[in-house]
Amino acid sequence: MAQLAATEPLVVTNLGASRRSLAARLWSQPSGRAGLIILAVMVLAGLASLAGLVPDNPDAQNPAATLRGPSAAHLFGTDQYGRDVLSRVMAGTVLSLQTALLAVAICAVLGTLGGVAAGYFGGVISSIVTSVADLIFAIPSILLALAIVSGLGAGWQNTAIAVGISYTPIFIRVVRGPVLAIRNADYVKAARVLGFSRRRILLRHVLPGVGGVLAVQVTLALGWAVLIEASLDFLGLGPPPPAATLGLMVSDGTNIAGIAWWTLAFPAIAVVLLVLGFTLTGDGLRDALDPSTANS
Amino acid sequence: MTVEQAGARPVAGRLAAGPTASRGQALALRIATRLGKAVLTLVGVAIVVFVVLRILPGNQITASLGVNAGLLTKAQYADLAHFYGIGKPLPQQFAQWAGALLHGNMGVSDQSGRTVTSLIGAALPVTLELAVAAMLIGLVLGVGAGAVAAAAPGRPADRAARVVALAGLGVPSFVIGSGLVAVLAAVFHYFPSSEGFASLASDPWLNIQQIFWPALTLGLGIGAAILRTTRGAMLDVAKQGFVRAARGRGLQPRLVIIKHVLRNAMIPILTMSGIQFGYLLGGTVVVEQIFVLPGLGRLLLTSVTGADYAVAQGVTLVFALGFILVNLLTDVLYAVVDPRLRA
Repeated sequence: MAQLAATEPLVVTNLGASRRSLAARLWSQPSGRAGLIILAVMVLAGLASLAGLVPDNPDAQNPAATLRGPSAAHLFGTDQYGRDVLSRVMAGTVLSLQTALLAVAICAVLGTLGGVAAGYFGGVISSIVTSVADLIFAIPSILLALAIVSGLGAGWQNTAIAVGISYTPIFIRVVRGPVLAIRNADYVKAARVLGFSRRRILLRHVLPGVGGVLAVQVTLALGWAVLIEASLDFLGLGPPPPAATLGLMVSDGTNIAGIAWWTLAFPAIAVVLLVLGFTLTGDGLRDALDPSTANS
Repeated sequence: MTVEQAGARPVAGRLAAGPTASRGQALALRIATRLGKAVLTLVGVAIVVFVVLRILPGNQITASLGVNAGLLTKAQYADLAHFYGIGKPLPQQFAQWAGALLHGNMGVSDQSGRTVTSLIGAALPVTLELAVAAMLIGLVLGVGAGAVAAAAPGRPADRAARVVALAGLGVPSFVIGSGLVAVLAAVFHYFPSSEGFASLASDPWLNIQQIFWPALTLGLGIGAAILRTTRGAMLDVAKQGFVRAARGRGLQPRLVIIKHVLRNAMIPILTMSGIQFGYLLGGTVVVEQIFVLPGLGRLLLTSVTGADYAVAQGVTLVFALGFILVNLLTDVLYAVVDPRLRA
């Protein structure tokens, strides 16, 4: 706890000092820069797919051109139904990104609310929130997601809900610590003495203090959400088959990789790039926010 | 650090008779509190799992009859509900299930007709073996490569280790597993199959062949996470005064790394290993599916998708129990590794 009290104000001042220099510091780090570049490529590919800028309709079957290797007409080849793998990977990237964004929105909001409540109010609220978090934590996340998805039915929104709930305890833990330290910081005590409303103190004084920690955690959580979401799709618990999910493509590709490696390789590479992009950016962000961990 | 300990020693010596007893009591109290919390968490998990599975649409009747369940008359439906024990209110059902559970009776699988305890009994050794093997691979790779990387930061070995660690973190286990299966099939014409899974007792050599690849799949991800933690923690410790003092006294660099740096970096490594074990349990679902191992993960997947409630409840409880036990073990190991935490 002493350690937290010592490091957190540092994070606060760094974030407040200058936003431009934070972006510059992120860019100046090899991991941050690599992550941002990878993410830019993936997001652009996704946006292109949304705008209809794809080589082919991702669901259009072509019995005359099944399992063709990579060529000028089909850069990533075609699958067992003659569908263009590049177009499907682009569509899958969109699905992965939107699922991850919704999932992380859910766990960031729930986790921040829970973490701030537990850290700021303490007492009974804190014990209730932390025991619920411990409970969710004790059920391995993929099992929890499995139960939720099989209950709510298949669909990307339900996958996102499942992933969001299972990641909430981590946000609670990550937010609670700094809030505990900030609660007793002089500027928060001063705000209390000045008679500011509880809402104003929480929103304007406490919440900005956890901004840095939250930013890092959100970025890392996005990578993790992509990973779990793709695993669920791989197990057949995501959107049903005609949907172009990266997990399903890897699953289908595994069976025919011996005769058509491209059906496995390209969707797998897309998953890896998405996860790596977020992980690298999160690492870079953490180092950029906290100079003491740089180079470690 | 050393100064602090040297200063503390005379105090401990003077009160030697008293503190040892109370210190033992304190440790016992700590373990008792942790045990109590663990039991409470387990009860909580049992309730949550029970309720979640009951909220899900579909029940044993629809699971066994499918769409034909709609053809049942009200009386037939009530009879079947009574047969499956799902007609009563939820609290009563829970009390019945929990009561039986305390006697070691976890119910009967609706799909196979076998008892849940026998299904879990058959699947548990497979998953346990897989988990232990994966953890061993992860620890050896992670701590070994992490120590090598931290011994010479910035050197080629360190850079290589960091790149490999990032790759291990970025590549999901289902991608590693799928890739391995594809390569094994193409190169060795080896196809995983549920037929003829050999237990460690019946055919050790075949069993090791069957467990090795899935364990490696899981171990690589764990190893990557442990590598990063090991390297970071060791670099932190290496900055401290007592390490410089040890080097200054002319101790062998390898001895300094192992006895001074690594030993003091064990706490974060242990914490990360505990966390990774949690992921490992979830990972077995995916990997057992890919490599067709008849373990708990596959049992869970088939029972959840097949609405086989008794089995799904039992397996989830076993998973949660494993997770809680490992957390307890991690806590106890903290005290073993770091004498300062024994008080």
